[in-house]
Amino acid sequence: MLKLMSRRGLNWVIPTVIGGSLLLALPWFGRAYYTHIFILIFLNIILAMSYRLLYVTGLVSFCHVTFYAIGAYTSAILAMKLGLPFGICFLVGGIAAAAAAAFLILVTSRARGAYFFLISFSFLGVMNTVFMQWRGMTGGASGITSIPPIMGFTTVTPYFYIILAFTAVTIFVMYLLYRSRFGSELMAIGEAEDLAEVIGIDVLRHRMVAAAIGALFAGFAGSLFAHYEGFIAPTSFPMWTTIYILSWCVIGGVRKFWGPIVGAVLMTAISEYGRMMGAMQAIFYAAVLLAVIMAMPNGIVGLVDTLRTRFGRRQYLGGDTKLGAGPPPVVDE
Amino acid sequence: MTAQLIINGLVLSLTIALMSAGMTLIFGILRVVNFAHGEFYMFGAVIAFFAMNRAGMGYVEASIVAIATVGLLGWVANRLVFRRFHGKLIEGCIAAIALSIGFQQVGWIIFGPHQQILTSPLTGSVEIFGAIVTMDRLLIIGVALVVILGLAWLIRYTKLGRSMRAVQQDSEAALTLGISVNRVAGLTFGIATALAALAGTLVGTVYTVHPVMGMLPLTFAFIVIIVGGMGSVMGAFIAAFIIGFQHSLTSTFWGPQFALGLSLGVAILMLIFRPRGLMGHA
Repeated sequence: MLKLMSRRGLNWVIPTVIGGSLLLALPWFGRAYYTHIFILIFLNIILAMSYRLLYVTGLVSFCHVTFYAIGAYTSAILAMKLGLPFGICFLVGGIAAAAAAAFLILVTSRARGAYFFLISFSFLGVMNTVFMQWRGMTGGASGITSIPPIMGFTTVTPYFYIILAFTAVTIFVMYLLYRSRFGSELMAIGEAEDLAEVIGIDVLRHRMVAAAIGALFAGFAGSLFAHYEGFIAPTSFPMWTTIYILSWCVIGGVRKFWGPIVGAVLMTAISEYGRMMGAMQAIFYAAVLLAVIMAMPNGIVGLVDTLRTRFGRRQYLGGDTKLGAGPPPVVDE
Repeated sequence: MTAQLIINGLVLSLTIALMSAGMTLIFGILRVVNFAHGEFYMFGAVIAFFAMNRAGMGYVEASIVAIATVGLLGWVANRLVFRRFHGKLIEGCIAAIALSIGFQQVGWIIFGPHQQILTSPLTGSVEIFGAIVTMDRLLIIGVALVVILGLAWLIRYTKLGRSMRAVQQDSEAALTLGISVNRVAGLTFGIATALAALAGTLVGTVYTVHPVMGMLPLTFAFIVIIVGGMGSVMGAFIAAFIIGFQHSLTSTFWGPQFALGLSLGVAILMLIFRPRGLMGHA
């Protein structure tokens, strides 16, 4: 066991250290454009990770971008109208998004499946109308300009480190949640809601907490985005973003912890690479999305796991795992 | 004023009824929310436009060509893609979204960023109860009404309609009774997309044809199938009238920018207090 642990540990440590240092050094040798792309990827990772939390409980929402937008608008409005420092704007932005999410789950507690999907779509539409029409606060269609930068930074590099650090914090928190009893209970609700209720899991409260934590991080990401870009408008948060978030999760494999990250990184890179292809970009993106959803119903990470249990060394058969016998069941939806 | 309101409300209600009847049929049979429905609508108008302006057809022939082509395209889309997602809500939605992104881009490539209009075969206007109504609007109302009644008849009285309802209620039981679920799904998809194309060719005579014209009717169709109850064609018709007239009234008395938000608000209230909609079953 010790041998296995150390070898596996080494296998992970070296690529992580190399990859991590390359990532940290990126702003110093890459062009500012690439740094910007990486910042977008980080924000997308946060969005995908936070979206996953409610998704695994069986509620697929269509309005994650709205929580992102609520965070961005709240933070920007506080900074502009009241002149509050970034830290307070950031916190309040996240909390506002979390409150909105908890409220949405509470009032729609009777809606399931397709109905929740469409109700969250309606919520997205209503909030878009609010952002467009509440001109005194949100600036309407022209949005809010010259939002004060974080601690006066005006170049890309500091934002790269700030947002990278926050992404790391997000992944760490999500990992703790994933490993916790609460995380398992969320998965249990998604697997069999009635059964979970029978064994004493408060389904509604769990979903509210999951949605609130997810929206909290989406709101934080929105706040970072607003102060990084310096400009937000309803067009910064189009309906498509929510579709992209959903597709990253599904492409990567939403039931696996690393799935949303893989999906977000891969698809953001593909769509940025695709910019060079001009008109074919959207068709390429659509083709990749369709191919993945048709060929790999459990996403990329799900497929890799399946292949590893099928063709890899039978490490699960050894006596040194808790499972004891046989490979773990592959969740087939 | 009142008569004008009623005419505008009717035009909107009937076109969104055509869209949402198709979407709700597809949902009933395949349990998939067809996000690409707006693109079939757009294709209907775009193909009719090309048939009229490149092939020199008249409006009626061009519409028939467009509706038949889009219906066939819908059948093929079901055969290649949607059939595999029977009952898989989220995967089906994502596949539909992927098709929607791709189709919309095809629309940009073949049609370009222009805004065009289909030339209506009827011109001039008539006065009804003091309202001046252009003939193209009357054409929309007439054709849509006939088609909707035809669809209601098809679902209620024909063998295909009975099979559709059987598959919707329980696809496995329908299969044991010798109904080919795949065949019914393919026909349903063809009919639903042909209805969307019809709506596109009709609306293209009044509003402009462009590659993203499908987004707004898609949003309306979502609202309508929520309010009407998913899978219920009758519910979709009733809800289309409620939402169409609500939109028309709100636009006239309050301002068009609030109309869509209010419709979505109606949908949210419906989902909160009666999640299965007007006519849907749980």
